[in-house]
Amino acid sequence: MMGNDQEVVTRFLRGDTEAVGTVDGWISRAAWPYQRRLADTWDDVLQDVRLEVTRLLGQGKFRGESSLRTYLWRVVSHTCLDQLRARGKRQWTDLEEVDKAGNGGDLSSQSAPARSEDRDLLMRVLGKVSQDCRELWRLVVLGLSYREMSLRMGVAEGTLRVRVLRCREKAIALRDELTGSSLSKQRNTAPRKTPIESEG
Amino acid sequence: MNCNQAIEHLPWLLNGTLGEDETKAVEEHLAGCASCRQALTDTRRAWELFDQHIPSAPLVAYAADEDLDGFDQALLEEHLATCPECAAELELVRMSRSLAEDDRVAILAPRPPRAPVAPAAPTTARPVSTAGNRWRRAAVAAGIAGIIAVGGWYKSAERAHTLASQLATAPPPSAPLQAPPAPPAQSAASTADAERIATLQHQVDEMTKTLGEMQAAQSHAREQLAQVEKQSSGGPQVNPWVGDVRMSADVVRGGGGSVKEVPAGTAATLLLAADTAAAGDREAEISDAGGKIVWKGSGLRATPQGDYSLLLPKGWLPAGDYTIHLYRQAGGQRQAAESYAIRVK
Repeated sequence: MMGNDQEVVTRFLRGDTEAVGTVDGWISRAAWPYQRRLADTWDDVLQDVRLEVTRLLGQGKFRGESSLRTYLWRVVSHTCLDQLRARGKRQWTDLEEVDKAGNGGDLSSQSAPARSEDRDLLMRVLGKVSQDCRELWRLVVLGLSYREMSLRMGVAEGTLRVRVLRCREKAIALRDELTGSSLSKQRNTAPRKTPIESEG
Repeated sequence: MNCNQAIEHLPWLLNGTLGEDETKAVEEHLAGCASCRQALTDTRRAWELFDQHIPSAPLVAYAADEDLDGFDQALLEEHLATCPECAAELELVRMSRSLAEDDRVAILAPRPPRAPVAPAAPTTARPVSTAGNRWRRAAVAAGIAGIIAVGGWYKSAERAHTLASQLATAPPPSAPLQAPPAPPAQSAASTADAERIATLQHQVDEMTKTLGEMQAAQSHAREQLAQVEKQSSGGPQVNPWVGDVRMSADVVRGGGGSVKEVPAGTAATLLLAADTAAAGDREAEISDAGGKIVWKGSGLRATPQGDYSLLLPKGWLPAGDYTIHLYRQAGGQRQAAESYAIRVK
């Protein structure tokens, strides 16, 4: 398998038609389940996957520790998952004017996505938040209005808003308690390599 | 708007669902209130926390039963148990892996259309299916497809569908809430919301009902598996994936790269991605490299995604090149539709 895979890689990088077709076929199979959810940008996503595969193989990242098909599956899954998540991210409403009126526009920087080394800790914090709060905020993050949430749960709008506020306060307190010092220490560490970069 | 009211509205200011007047009122208040701007910062931090999901790297590693590169497995599994989004993504990754590593499922894209093929005399090596045994073969094929040919992939598709449904329905918190009496009259917006939710609920009920029917059909097919194993195969079976493909939001019509090689030593399910311009029922023929028709059948039904499925039992086709031709009826005449080239090895 190893010899065959390396031969496929070599021929793929030379542009051999059969090898390119083989690799593309494996990519297409692995990518198939993601196609519907990424339908409107599917051609672009598939092209991103091909470019990433070409880059990684060209840099010799595939070292035969798994089969080439499994390696390609990883690349496909990482790329497609990242694309799915990027699409799912709700864009916050434009608050530039509010930010400017505040502390020197500092708010936007605080809302940046967590660094990768922070994520494990944030997930630990999230694990300590009550299930009720996670459910409430999941609906907020999904983009439901408080009226929709109120109707869905049969709770008065005012009560709902207060509950969400209480959950926010608990979450922030937990976050500060658990991440306050450890995050600042971790921010000085080197970023972890991605699995695709480090595996073969 | 006072501070308490402004702060209570902040989560929905961030998700963009406040009304125009509410948004204006909150923003005006924020512009002149430093403490509420700090509350906005806290609300963003809370959002960031509640929007945490398992990073893609450990999720993929978990799907592969491999080392999570330092990520806490217990934490990952705990999150999976409470996060429909991550659970659905995990099933997608697992389905992807099944397809990537299991050659028994072929995804075929149609070849460019050719000149219509004149109906040929049935020089088939095997008899054409009759209406009487088509049902039997379809049930048999469903059993094989669900249990043997695609195995875990089917299960993954079903789980992904279930999880996606759960996500779509977004159940409310489980803890009892202290609900005050509902207001006597709803606003126009609330009425519209209620109607929208009622419509969605109806759709969910319909989907649940259909899923139950599909599961019953699957159970029936499983019961017939024992009979299937006793029978020598009579040829390809049509519609083995009727229920499954139709129900799953995650099983989609293929199109990338036709798979030309089909293993002879195992049952192979062929997913035929159709031209969407004229979807509908199809007749099918399989001809060998010399153009001789080795099998023909009818009644292939398209899923809403426009796919057809055909199951080749183990060892049914000798090694060699074959072409699958699909035909449609138009104006009382048979017309050539899609065709797919396969190589049995």
